[in-house]
Amino acid sequence: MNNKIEIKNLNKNYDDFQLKNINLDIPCGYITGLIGENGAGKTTLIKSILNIINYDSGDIKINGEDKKENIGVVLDNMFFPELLNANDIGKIMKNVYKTWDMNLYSKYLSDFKLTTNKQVKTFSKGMRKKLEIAVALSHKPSILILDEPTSGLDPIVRDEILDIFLDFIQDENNTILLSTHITSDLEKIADYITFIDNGSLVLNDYKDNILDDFGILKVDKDDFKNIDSKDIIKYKKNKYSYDILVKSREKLKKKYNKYVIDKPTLDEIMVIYIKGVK
Amino acid sequence: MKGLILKDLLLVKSNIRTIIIVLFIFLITIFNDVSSITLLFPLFSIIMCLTTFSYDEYNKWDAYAITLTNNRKLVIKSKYVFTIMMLIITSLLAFIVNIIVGNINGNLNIEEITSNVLEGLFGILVFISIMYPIIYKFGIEKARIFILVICFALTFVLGYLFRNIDINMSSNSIIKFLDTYLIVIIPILSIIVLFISYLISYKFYSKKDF
Repeated sequence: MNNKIEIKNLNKNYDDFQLKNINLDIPCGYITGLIGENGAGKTTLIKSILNIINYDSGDIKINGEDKKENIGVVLDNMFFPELLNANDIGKIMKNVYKTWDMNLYSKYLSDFKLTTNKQVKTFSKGMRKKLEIAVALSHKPSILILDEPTSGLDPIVRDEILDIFLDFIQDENNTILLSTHITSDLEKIADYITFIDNGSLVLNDYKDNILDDFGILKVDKDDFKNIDSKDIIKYKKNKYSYDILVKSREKLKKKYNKYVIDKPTLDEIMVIYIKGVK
Repeated sequence: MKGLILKDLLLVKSNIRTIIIVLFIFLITIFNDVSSITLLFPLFSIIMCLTTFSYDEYNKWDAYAITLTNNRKLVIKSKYVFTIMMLIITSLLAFIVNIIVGNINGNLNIEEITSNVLEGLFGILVFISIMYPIIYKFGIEKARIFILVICFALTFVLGYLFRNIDINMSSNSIIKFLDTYLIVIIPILSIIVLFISYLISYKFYSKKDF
């Protein structure tokens, strides 16, 4: 398979946090969703890819074309100069990107119902995100690297933007890497899921593999001892029952035919993984 | 680089009303002694440049600028070029105002005006050459304290020097030499000082995480 971004043995040390030996390939032509709790290292990973931070060791390769021209970026915090308006930002970008398409930009602005002559500081959080996404798309990049692009947006706009991403990925030379807390968005559009916890890569697989393979086994307190400990990845204790995260769901369904094994959501996998115990 | 410079110009433009008012007040209050404009105009443009640093920091622009260029050198270079542009524009403006007023008052001395403008320009260039690496190292908020310290230090050192050199100023051949070739020496010196400053700034900036 063709990899767009190759990350090898990436390490970054902060006083209170480390990104530990990340090995990750972002495949070309797919949407890869980066999940993990706050402070897990998603933003650090994205900033390393973009050279915004200097990582301590490891290697990050972006294959193919000119790095700057072909990447569209949305960062986690707002970054446009607040005193400027959308028109100004368009003029700036026209001088930054050779491939900047002013008509496309205007089209996004009107699609997103953004005013062009009001200072960015008067925009709501959602409007700013929309502006950032419009800018990220308007120079026709082949890679989108987006740190929580849909946070702060209402469900309708989020849906519109997810459609834009799906449209973008129709071109098999395009690639998207996005991090988000809204895992339902990823269930809708992502092909791959990369799960980071406490600076380490926990999971990196096809979304469908993950959702088809993992299961949540629900048992009563008394039945918990009947479960083979090697089948348990992690479990979470509720008031009267246990939620157990398991793998090879279909196989275990036969083994524990007395109990219910549900198909999990990404949220559930994340929560049991992070909060559960082994 | 053009885009980043344009961003700073647009930021300055968004304050254009304040700028015009301040410049106008300058002009009115010091019309008698118009030569002080020679320093005040470029100094004012430096304040505007420093303001763009504040905006950048407040809006967390740098991280994004790095992704736009994928080259930290370009980000630094843009700031220096923008600053020099602002300085040259305001110095020219001061030059023109001086000439006009000199014409009106009938005491026009182009040579003196030229050397005044160049000296002012050089002084300010030295100032920003010291300031910018400090800003890139510590950020504009902390660097503000340094600005005050440097201003005091420069005033003190220069004052001390002038008091002691003054006696044989006119007879000193070095000063004479400097004065004659000012128009050549100042640009060359400025370029050297600025280039060193740029290299140091880049060194600090390249190690920074945003």
